[in-house]
Amino acid sequence: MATCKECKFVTPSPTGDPSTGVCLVERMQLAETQQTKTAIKGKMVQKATAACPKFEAGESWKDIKNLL
Amino acid sequence: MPTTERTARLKNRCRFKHVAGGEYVDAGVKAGVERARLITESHKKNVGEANCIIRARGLENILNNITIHIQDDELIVGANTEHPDYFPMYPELSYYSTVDMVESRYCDHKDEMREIAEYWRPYTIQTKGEKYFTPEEIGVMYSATTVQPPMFVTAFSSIVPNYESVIEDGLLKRIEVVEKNIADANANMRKSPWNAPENLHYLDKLDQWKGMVIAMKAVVGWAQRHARLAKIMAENFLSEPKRKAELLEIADICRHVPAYPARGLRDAMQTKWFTYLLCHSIERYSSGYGQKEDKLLWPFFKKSVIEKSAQPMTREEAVELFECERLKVSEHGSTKGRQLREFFAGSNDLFILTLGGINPDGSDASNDCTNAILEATESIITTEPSISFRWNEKGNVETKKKVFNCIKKGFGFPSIKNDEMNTQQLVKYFNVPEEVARDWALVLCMSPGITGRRGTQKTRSEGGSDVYPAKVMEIALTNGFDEFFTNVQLGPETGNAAEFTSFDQVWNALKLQLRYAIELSLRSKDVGRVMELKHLCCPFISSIDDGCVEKGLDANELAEVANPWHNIIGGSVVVIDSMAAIKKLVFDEKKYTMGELMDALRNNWEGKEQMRIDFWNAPKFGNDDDYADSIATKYYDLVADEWKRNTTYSGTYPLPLAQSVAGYIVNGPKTAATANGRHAGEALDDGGSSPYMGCDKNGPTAVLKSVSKINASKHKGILLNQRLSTVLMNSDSGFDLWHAYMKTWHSLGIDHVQFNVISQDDMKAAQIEPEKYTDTLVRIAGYSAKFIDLARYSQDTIIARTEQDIKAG
Amino acid sequence: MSKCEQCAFFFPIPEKDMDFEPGKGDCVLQQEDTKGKFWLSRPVLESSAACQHHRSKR
Repeated sequence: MATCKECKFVTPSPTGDPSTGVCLVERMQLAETQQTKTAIKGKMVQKATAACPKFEAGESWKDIKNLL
Repeated sequence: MPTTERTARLKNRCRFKHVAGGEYVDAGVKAGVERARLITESHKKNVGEANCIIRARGLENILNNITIHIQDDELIVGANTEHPDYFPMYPELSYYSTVDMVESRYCDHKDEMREIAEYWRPYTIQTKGEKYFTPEEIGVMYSATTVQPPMFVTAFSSIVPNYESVIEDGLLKRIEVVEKNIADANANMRKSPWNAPENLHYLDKLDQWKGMVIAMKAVVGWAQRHARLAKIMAENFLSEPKRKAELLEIADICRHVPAYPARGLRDAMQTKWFTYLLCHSIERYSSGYGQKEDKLLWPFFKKSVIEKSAQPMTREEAVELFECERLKVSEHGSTKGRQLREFFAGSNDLFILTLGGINPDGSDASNDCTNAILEATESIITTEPSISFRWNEKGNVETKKKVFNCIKKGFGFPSIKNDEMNTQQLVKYFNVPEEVARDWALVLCMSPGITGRRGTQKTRSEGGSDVYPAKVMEIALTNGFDEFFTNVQLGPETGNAAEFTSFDQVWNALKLQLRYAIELSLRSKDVGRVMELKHLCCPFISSIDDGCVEKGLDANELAEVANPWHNIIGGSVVVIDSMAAIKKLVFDEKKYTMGELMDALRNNWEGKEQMRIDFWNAPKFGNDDDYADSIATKYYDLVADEWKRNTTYSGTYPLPLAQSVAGYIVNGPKTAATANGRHAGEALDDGGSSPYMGCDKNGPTAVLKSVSKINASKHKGILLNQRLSTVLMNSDSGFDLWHAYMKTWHSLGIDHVQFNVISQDDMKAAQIEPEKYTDTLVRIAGYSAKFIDLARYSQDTIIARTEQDIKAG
Repeated sequence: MSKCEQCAFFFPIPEKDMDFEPGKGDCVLQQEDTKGKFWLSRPVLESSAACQHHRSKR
């Protein structure tokens, strides 16, 4: 069964703790009033957690310039 | 354009090691294994010895055995790893940081490094430090939400090496001094009659001094290895006469320094580079490039360039040497932990040198060496090292024009610090004699510290680490619980804001959450400091500090000149604007209730767009509006007062330092919707007092007036980002307009300002055709980066900054 | 079997140098990649078995 560890939207934890990660899949386009375009709703996750419906297999570093 | 064919070639092939989103941009960058292998091999042989001896033997084994290299065209030699594309690893620091690196694509020696990481695990400062905290406290700190994870897990540090003592004395003379201390101690211990109180303190000192001798001898040997390599290359591998002559001169330099005092500018530059490598990257990792470079090199610039009495060279050759230095720094590989790599988006590390200001005797410290460094900076166009310019009324206009030239080209630096204010702060808060204080340089991007032969900052446990105010404000409204990012209780239970009935209750909750975050963070720093002095002695760093040599103390232990400071990173203005909106709309006008606000924030303003716009349009900091500015004043005073309650390792209270690096980007996705009308996951404010993106609508003078209302003297620094028009800055009256703006800035008693000078059109074009904009630099906050190296989310936050028209005022 | 001391890339360490040890020398090799040439030096013992880069002294 796929877990967060194998998901391309999950970046490493801030400390490098191998058991946790930061999920960056949730994002929204902002209103015209805002100067920036995108908001990213981060979530700290346990990498062993079962994958959610938005799971896509991959490694976050390969697409990091579009992730953060 | 680079000024010589050599520096054009060096730049063209520069092995940049920039990061984006925590990942190295260049595919060729790898983790070197030799340092880790050699320090491990030595540790196994020396377990049981005093820590300073273990550490000295480790350094000796690295310097005697690591593969060294010299690249074609180089004038300054030496590196921290076995290959020019690599960065080193430090398994003795943080287990998590090592494992993170070992399991990444950068490490090609996974099995060996996994074994090394496991060997070190019980000895790491991470393991040693963690046991003084509860699992809950570790959870809060390691989530990097309200506070920065402690140094024992990030492995992040900073230092200002005592370059002066190495350049002026040479290590052989310093070895003699330390050996005399050892001989004197041994003689005293053998005096009759035996007196324990007078002699037992020598035991620890003897170990420290012996460690210093081992380390300094190893360093001289390492320089001699470079001398031999240069000579062997000249005599066996190369035929071109000019390069052969250069290599023979490099061989002569490396045989002379750092063993002996520097003779001229080439010696001084090489000594400085060797010392930098050792203190920042080989003995342990420390960020920064803290030095007052024009003061340090001026005597040698005079000898070589002006008087031509030692290592004579033309001024053009000096400029070329400074260009080479910038390129050498640009390809230096730093090994920061994950969070710090994310925090320095687009950069390699925080390399910041300091220029300008005044001399100890009060005269203008800007000289022709300052000008040559600035000219090299303007011509070579690299993001590193960044420069801080100490703006003093006495500073000459010629040098200020050269500062302007770099800024108008869009480098984002020099950043400008108020010289008089920062000097007086060292005198007033840290009891530094005025003539010593006048030689200050930035330790990292914003914090002044002393330079010279003793008492400089040696570890980030003295000054550094972060509190994240926007997240603190978020949990101040949710009873200390983080509903958005971690689902963890991050702070004390200070009540649910839906039930708050007064603005004072909101303010008090913020104060108590801030207090908890500050105290946890300070405690982790001081615990880390004790772990460092017990388990991470730095005998070489100690050997070049006159105080450590005199007292026989490790550099981590001796706090001869206290310099405690603590960052408050990105989000201060989100807090101020949120507080202003709450006060106005909930408690003054009673248009909304706290319950309605909490409901809207929890749901990210969904279905409440008009309410969000009301909060977005509430008074904002940066418009010379007393409603918001009075809250700003109160907030920055609160921050200073809260830090002032504490006493740290060095015996006094820290000063806060409001800035952001790229924390305003990285922490955006960790922070829920805020009452300033910001959505969840939107970036925070860039800087320490920069108005929130798009919220400063009354021109640049209004921004300065708002910022000037903050009592900056209570803070170690408050970062202000401003974006200026490229057209205006490049016009005939560009300098005069900017100079007038700077005079206003200075007269208002503001601590800092730095500028982006780049058009929206250029940035948008660079997003579409990045290959055409390889030299386009932007200021993030505290450092600059190549625009094309940044991730899209980060690029958009630069485009979003308000472009100010300084002509309009 | 060839030894490092017979290699053209082996250079004994002078006795006066801090890292001198009898039989120890510098192995100096030239490398080149897409970014240019560089020269590496690492310590070896003259008695060590020759490596793949070995080139006999003339």
